Amino acid sequence: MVGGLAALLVGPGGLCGQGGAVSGLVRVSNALSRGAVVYLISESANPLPPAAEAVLLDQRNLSFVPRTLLVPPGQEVAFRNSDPLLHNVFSPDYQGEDFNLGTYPSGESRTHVFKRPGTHVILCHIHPEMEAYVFVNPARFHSVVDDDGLFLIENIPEGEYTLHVWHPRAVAYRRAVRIGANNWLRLDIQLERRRAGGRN
Amino acid sequence: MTRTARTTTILSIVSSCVVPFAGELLAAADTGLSSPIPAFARKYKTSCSTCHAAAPKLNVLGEAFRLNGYRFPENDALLRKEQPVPLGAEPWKELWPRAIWPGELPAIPPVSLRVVSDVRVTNDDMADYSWTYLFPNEIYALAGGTLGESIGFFVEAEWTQDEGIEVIQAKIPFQDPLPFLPDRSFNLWVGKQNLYLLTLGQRQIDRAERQRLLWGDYAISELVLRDPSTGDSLRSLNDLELRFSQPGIEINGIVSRRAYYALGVTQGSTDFAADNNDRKDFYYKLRYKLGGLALDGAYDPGGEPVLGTGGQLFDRSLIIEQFGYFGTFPVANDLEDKHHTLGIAARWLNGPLDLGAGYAWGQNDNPWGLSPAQQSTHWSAFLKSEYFFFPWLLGSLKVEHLETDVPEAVRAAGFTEGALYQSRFLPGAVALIRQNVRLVIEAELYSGDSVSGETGTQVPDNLWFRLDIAF
Repeated sequence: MVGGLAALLVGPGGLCGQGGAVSGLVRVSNALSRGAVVYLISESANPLPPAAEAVLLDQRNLSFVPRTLLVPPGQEVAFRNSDPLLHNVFSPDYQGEDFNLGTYPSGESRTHVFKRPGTHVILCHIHPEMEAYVFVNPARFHSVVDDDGLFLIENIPEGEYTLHVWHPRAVAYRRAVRIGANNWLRLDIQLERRRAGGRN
Repeated sequence: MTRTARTTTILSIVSSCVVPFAGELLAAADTGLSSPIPAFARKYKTSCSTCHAAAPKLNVLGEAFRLNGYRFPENDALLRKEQPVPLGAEPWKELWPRAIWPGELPAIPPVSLRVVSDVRVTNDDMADYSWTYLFPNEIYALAGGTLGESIGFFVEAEWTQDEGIEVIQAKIPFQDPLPFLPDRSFNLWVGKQNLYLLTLGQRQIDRAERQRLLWGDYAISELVLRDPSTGDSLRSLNDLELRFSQPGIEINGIVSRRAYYALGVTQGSTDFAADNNDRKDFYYKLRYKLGGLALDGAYDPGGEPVLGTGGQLFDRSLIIEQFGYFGTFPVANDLEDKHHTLGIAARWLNGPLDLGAGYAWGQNDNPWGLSPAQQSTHWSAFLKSEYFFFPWLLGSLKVEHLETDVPEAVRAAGFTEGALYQSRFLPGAVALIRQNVRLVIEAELYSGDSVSGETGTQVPDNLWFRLDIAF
């Protein structure tokens, strides 16, 4: 995926079978913004329905994988413990939807259905350095920024959109964009670091 | 200045200092061999010239780094190449006080060594010229870093031929512990720490050359007064020297970006594990910087770094600083020597030139524990100049005079001889063979020196050759 995104940024177009595309680089105060979410909102676009099967958010090598997950409201997420030790999964009450899945052993999976849109922080009581974000949003067109700070959203119907960028450490960003048929829009987005709980 | 503009400034300072040396020095940084405090070089993957003029002498950014609790004033996380081990994810901050505030550990042990070898050439009455090899003369173990966003640490242990092993510093800076106050205006530094009473000529801040200034080394206990007719001597027990680090607590901060203050309480003695009296010593430091890089590590709008031909970070500024130290030392049964020292200095930085002058004045109310008390005063005037002839060659010259005034009653009692004054000048040069390998040559020449009461001789002139490496 990363190599593909990089090639898109440096190579010519020709990627779009139908509709347009938007790709680019996202930075937070000059650092690459791994884990940011870029999504498009328009009045005409239908909201993304939840998938029938649970989306996996794994616990592997003392980390949540992936670190950022975008799901629509009503989506069930499975939190699997793939480590050879106990893990806990809980989310504090930031969106009026706190939960604690308890502590469970290797190989076990527990689920939660995310109802409220917004950012849900996922933490482990046993390993406080572990963190993940479930970003609940019905945006049909979205992309999670990769380790190189790159994103790509394809097959976007022609129209007017508001492009939003969310990052846990940055001030929310949005701008209007027009997506044309077979049009490839490339953006270089600079986010302002948010001062939450003190300086970096 | 906006935060974004300030960010750019810090990043540009670091990059502008590194780029001219990029090939050689960053390669050296990768192997951890580029800085006298390689713990920081490893952490930021930058050369020592980013923060040091001629290591360990700090440049203005290095001083801002130190005042900020051993982190870059802005965007330290961006500049850091070595990713720390997290002790808790950032969202835990919002769960506080139901959880422990998250912190971090350095990913690699932030420890480095500095090995100093000296050759001392002495011209004295015993032997015309004696050459003494002091290989090594001093070995330092240095550790420094941060433990999360607002706690730092700096540890300096030293072995010397003269004094063996000693912990020079072991301090924990708590930066901005009161978040409702403006940034950097209130910090709490706890531990054994160098007081840095004046940046001009203080240990670690400015140790490009070997010798420190006389006022910092002054101890009334070393003023041995002798009665030439009987051979009797009079000596104080108060051996406090201001240059020594002390266990203490310091509150410091930066106000309006250019004014610095510090208030401290210290043990008042370095030689005792427990305090030797029921009092504590106090000190204050004030500093104001005009022009150049402000003390918070940012330039005023329109300001920009002054770079040397070799990419060194220079400055054009004037620093005015002043301190006061007030202490008590027991010198006899139920008798204490209350003492205080006041000092003032001005320092002018103009590109490759670092020129400073100052004056210190001290008083001991009863240094010999006599009854009635006999008061002694001393004063020192000093001038120091350093100039970069080349990026790798720093010349220095210090000129200073120290004089002690002994009360008439003590003189009348016959104690008329002693090292009551010293005038000396110290020309020297520092050659940076590598960023982390220095050759220092310095002469210690006494133009005026009263006879020592203890030895009956004058202090000999010395010539020092120093090889100083850090890794």
